[in-house]
Amino acid sequence: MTANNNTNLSLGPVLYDWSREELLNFYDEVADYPVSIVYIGEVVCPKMAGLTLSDIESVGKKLEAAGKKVYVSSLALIADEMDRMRIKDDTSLPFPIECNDPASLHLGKGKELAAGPHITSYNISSVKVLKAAGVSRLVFPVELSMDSMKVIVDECDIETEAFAYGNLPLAFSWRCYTSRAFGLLKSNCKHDCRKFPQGMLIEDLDRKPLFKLNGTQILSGKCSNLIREVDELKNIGVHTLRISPEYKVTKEVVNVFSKRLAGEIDADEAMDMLTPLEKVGFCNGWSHGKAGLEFLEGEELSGLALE
Amino acid sequence: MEDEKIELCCPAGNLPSLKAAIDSGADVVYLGFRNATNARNFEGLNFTNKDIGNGIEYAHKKGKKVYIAINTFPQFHDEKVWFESVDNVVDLGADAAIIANMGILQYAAETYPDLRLHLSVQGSSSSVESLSFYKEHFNVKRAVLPRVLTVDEIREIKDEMNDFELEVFGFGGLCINVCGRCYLSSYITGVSCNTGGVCSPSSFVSFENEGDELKVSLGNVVLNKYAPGEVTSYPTSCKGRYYFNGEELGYPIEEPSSLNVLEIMPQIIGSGADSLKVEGRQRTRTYVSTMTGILREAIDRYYDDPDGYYVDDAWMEKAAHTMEGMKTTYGSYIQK
Repeated sequence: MTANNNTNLSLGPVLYDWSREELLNFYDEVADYPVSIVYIGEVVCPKMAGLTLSDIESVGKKLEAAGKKVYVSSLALIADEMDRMRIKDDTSLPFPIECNDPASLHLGKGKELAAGPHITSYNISSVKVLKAAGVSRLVFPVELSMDSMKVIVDECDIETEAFAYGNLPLAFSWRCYTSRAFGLLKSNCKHDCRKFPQGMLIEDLDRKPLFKLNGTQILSGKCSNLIREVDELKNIGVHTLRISPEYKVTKEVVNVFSKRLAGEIDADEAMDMLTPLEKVGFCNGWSHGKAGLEFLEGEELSGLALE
Repeated sequence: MEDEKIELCCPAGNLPSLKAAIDSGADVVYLGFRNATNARNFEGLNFTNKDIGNGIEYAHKKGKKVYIAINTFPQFHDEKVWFESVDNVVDLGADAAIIANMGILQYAAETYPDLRLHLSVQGSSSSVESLSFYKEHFNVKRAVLPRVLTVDEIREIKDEMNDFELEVFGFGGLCINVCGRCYLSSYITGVSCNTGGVCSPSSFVSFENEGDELKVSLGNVVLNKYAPGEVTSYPTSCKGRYYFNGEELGYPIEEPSSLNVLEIMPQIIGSGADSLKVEGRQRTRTYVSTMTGILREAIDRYYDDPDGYYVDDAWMEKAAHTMEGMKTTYGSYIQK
């Protein structure tokens, strides 16, 4: 039995183009959040980054002073020289690095490293390679089922983290989709992503929400929510549950997960508190080995537990 | 390798296509096994070990090579299948293994130090730093570059890593999102491209007549509605039509289009790339022989007279025909 009674919370990197002022205010508050780990920095596009490198350094120091473990998250795709410079700058900051591309594994050699959700670590032999490269924490790929998580937790002796709440990062491109929607290119972008602090929600031809465009990234239209899976994730032995920042609701989401982890509220109460925070709807399919956009609830979940 | 011609690397989904590629001028044919180790794990496609043996014999007799792609990511319970596939590459005498996953690369490098290893496009390695990681850890000799760079950016990588080979895509289907880190299809269907080897599995695709229109869905998601006579394409969610704020956005991610570098062959070769790859192991033998023949002619024409290079109208017509009238694009090669 690997049940982890010390499962804690992390706050993932902000994926959207929030302004510098908003980000600085946000991280002032984060210092008081009941999270153990905070990831700061730019994963999507260096043109998006509201915080300068020195901002990241001072915010990181403040969070460390508040007792948080701080990682700098690095880009998930290097598509041009600007990206390459950015990843070099980020990996030179005086913090552990969350690597989302092998370039940061290479540049961060000798530092404390985490493999982010964009490093495709589905299996034991890959995790062994990552450990040999200096990785001590593994953020599971978003499509990994809890069955697969369990095997890695049992076999690999590495700190583990599951993406537990927020719109799921699904894809990255050299193309900026937000710019494209405004008839522009990434190279002549006008920061239109700043207008969409929650991403641009696009709908299929039946007008059902499907994806969110966020600059060079595509996110799920639905918000992933593993609040009903908290006990199972603890039982598996996952060390950390990641909350991915969403606009204006992050504090409440963190508080609900914190209370749920502490056993102060049950899953139904937690769900009732989270539901008003999310307009499009929730999904949790991948954690149960189903399609990512599915949301399994009630009998479907208990049915799975019996299998 | 820069004194030699750029290598022409062509796809085969079966033995007749392999022979057609060799006979039409391919330097190399790449192919895969008939299982989930293959990112083109489509029904009715791909090679038995016996066919691969015959194919390698055919290619080697003509002085050509065969690379085998093991370009997906095993999950914990099936890693053994991937390891056995690496064993098979060695037993069959293929000229290189194209591998995506770090764990499989590690196995191959440790078990078979003499096996030539290439990093698959699914590994998505697009910078000197990332390529250096694969080179140092697994002694990878070549990478198939993700389709995210301009020809100038490829040149810069080549200038910094002169002894490392780069393979670039020249023709065929195009992923607009970086491969190996794209979960769009998995989000809709639950079948992972990375671990299952199929994007937009045909068992999830449906076509339905709605009045005059043809409605095309993947799972419960409606990706397109075609007017009569409109050119249709295989539905993937990156090439769907979408709405934003009640307005039709057209194709906000990518229009159905295929890559074609015939018109920019001098820039592609000028990038210093060592190999030019044609996408399409799932395509017909006719596609393989047509496109191999055209690209062979184009490459030879360039080297005969670099300044006098020109494109035949007939090449473009035939190329358009093989892509069923879809638009063509230079991808990221010229402008981003």
